[in-house]
Amino acid sequence: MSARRAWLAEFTWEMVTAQNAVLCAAKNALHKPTSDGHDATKELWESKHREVMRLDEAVDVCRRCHRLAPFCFFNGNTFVSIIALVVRALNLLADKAYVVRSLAGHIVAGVATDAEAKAFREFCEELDGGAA
Amino acid sequence: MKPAIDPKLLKNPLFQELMAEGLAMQDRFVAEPLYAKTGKGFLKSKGVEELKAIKSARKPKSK
Repeated sequence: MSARRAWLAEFTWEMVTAQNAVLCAAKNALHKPTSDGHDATKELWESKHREVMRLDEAVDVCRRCHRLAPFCFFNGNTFVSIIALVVRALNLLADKAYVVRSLAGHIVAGVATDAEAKAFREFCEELDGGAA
Repeated sequence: MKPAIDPKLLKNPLFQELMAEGLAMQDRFVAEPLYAKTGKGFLKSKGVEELKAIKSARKPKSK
């Protein structure tokens, strides 16, 4: 398994925006770009999402985009759902997939503890070694 | 921002999967951009049901 891939390549900014629109519609929330975060996030995403990178770097791109808050509402699940699909594509065993998805999701959501961040880095190092 | 979504995108299997994933986890998030405002995000625990199901599926069946 290659540890460096274009993990986020298929997730265009159009898809990110549409995902937020769907999530906002489900909760009758306003789907609208923020004045201070949208353009910077779009620029970051479009400059990075096609790049070949390590999985922890892809997770960090999603985390940074979440933190920049490109939309008025539901930024968290917009980006956590993307990383969940990236982890799903690894086709890990169910229990390992559960743990890795939780760790990645916590990091992107901005709630990961230092121990969780460390555990995720260690998993990514396993990928580097081809052990996962 | 135009909320209408390109019909082609709606037929995209990856986007369909993404929507399903995002909607399934919707109730674990708050709407407001807390992470941007406070530097600390929010994610409600989803409990242990999924983990229990995974573990029970792994247990060898008793004879």
